[in-house]
Amino acid sequence: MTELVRRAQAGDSDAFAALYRAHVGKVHALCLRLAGDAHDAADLTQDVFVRAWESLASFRGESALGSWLHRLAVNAFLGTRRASTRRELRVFAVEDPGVLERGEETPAPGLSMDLEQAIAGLPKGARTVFVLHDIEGYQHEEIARMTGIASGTSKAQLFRARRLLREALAR
Amino acid sequence: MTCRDFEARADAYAEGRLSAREAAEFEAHLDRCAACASVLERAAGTPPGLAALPRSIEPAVDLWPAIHGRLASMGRPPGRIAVPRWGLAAAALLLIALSSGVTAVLLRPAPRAASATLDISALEAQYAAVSEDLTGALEKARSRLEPATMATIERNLRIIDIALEETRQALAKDPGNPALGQMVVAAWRQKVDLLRRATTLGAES
Repeated sequence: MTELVRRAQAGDSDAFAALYRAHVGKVHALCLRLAGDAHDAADLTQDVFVRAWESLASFRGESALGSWLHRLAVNAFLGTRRASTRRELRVFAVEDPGVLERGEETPAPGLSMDLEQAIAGLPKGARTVFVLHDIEGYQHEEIARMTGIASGTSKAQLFRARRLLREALAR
Repeated sequence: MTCRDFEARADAYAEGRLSAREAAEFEAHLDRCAACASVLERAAGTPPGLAALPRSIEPAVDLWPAIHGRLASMGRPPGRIAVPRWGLAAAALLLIALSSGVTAVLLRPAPRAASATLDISALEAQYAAVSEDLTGALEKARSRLEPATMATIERNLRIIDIALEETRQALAKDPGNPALGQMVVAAWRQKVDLLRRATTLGAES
């Protein structure tokens, strides 16, 4: 375990800020791909680091901090999805909340590459499985366990995601 | 579903053209048929360019100030914050308004060592700016909200404002008390959260 982690565990917010700076790019990339929306990704990234601060004492250094944060991000995203029937509070103050209700088919600002845009445009279920399986390297059984879907559903959604991505990229 | 049926429906599944029941049957078949799972795996490999995706993407704006503000309102385990009696009264007001949020803050364990340093003035300025924007948005949404709903929102906002003002006055008398600083920030968060909910209600109506 690094000295920074030990200091952050002892309540040193400067150390935690340094950890944030070191890991925010990778955490945000994951959040951006899972959420498919830059605003939601920013909210999710904030939540991940707040959760990390809350539960840092439970981090024992058995895995790399980056892996632990990744797992927190996935759990936070899945928790947000489960709560999606409740309207999520937004970080940004806007006069027109409609601008935050971007449809799934609209590419997110900040995702400039074709493939990134195509991933952002996937249906939510297919996008979740694709990001977890093909980008993050989770197995179908793990995805099924984390998301509460059947393994067959995970396989089917991955097939759907890949097919849709190939079609989108061929256009 | 037979394997032949499965194969015939693969395209329709990918394009979202199956009914919910048909899609569920398609997915269930994959759970028990390794041969079809293998066929499907071959039919759609990973898209080109996947390996070249960046592993790291910085947020468009620096998220740390907002995160730091949230951390500052929390404190750190273990231990408990010593809350003065009047502070509990103020907390009760907030609880009347919004139930659970402030309880978590007040009863959350205190910092073991150096807690997150609070720059209350800076945080208050940020919250005040957001609050002002949201208040303007709420004013525009007023005509779309039921009068009774609007009255409830305004009553709760007044309660939070009272608690905020009392807590702020206490902090002015005891500026070194971190629990008081955390309570000021918590009150602001509750106010902004309520305003956000209210403006969203207005947008939905």
